[in-house]
Amino acid sequence: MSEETNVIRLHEKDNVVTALCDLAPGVPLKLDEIGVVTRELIPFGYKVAIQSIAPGAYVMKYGVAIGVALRPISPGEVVHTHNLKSLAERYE
Amino acid sequence: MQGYRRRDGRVGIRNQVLVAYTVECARFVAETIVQRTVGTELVGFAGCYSDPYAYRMLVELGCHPNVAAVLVVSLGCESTDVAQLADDIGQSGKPVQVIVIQELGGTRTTIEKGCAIAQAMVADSRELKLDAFAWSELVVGVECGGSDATSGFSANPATGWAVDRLIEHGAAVIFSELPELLGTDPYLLRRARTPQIGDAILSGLERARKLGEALGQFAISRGNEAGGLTTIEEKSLGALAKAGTKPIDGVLKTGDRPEGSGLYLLDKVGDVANRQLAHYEINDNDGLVSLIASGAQLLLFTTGRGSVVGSVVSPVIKICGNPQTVKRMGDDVDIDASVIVLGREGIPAVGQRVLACVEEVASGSQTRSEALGHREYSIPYKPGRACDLI
Repeated sequence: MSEETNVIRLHEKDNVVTALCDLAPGVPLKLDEIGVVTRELIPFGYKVAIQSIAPGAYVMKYGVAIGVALRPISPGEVVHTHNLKSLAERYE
Repeated sequence: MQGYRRRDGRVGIRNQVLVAYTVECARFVAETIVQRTVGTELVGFAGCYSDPYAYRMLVELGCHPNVAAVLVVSLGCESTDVAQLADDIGQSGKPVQVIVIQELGGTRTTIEKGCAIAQAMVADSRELKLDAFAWSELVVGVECGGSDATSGFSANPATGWAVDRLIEHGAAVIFSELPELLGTDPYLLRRARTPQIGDAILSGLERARKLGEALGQFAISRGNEAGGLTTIEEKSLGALAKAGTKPIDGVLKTGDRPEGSGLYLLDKVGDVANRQLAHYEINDNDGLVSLIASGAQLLLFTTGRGSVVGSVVSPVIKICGNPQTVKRMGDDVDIDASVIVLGREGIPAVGQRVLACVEEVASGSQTRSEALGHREYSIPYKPGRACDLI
């Protein structure tokens, strides 16, 4: 990882970014002055929210919805199987 | 690039003699012939009951331009019609011979006879001269395995960049794995060259969806989740990146070959409604074999978590985008795409290396999996009637 970044945002519409290394709790995301700090451990490759996401709202990655939030997600929280599910019930 | 021009007009970038067993009972004899004869490799189908999918795979692998000649090893009482198989492979114009263990008197005599035939075939194949060939004569298959969160923004888009350039050069590129494209429907459909192609893609996605429902699972594994991928849509979007950005010029069915240059989607998903449940890709090598059967002389295989497989018949170029995996399993990796994740190189720079690697491998350079000795194949039963699961 270059010194400048610790996460990658794949599209400007995205409300999650991907960790480029293991991020400990309390680490600022190095991303255009968005001022988000990790609230928990974000393992390498995992998604972290950069905005508040309401239950039922789309989680956006690559600029498109990859699923819906199962519960309220705060900026800095990890987004994975416990709080994100596929858009179509039938993919579960 | 230089290759071996075959009688059916296609060009091979490898020149191996294929030893094919037609039932598990003949595998040991076939395997022993391969172990004792340099320049041969093994393939086969374990089933005693014949199966249209497996039969087609054996025919297409036998006819494949990377293969110089074929020795079929039969026990003698399996259901697969071995004489017909030899005949069908022979249509490609290459040498084919059959040996039958029950007729030749058992293990020892069949191995001796088989080794003599295989050695003669190898000697003849060495007489073939290399001939220059063009990009338009190349068919490249793309596959991913062991995907993780890095796949979608490193190895896959870098491979997609190379795929776009291959198509611009006139090559044909085939991608597959429809169950791993679920959720990308609008992006796939808008790339269809014609409305008919769009309908064929939609039909494939719908069958993949129904198959997933019938099987009670979709193509996202525990390893994918451990690697940071959560939903099938997320995995699929990453997987689609390896197919580049060009329009889709055709949808192929099992064993079909591209009709010209361009991008092709191989649809081998069964149809639950018509009681064809079992047409499901059971592992990565099953997928690679089907791409080879559609004429791919070379394969691009992207991975995040790390895969070591190669293949019989066609060389496999391994592209890995996860820095931890490259560090741990670098000996198995041809192209290190993790430099994208590390911010040291962009997608086009890595894509350029993939393209250069294709040219080298198509001219005879060994891939890592070839050098390590990988020659896997997986030809499972995919019977049209096996729908008792539902």
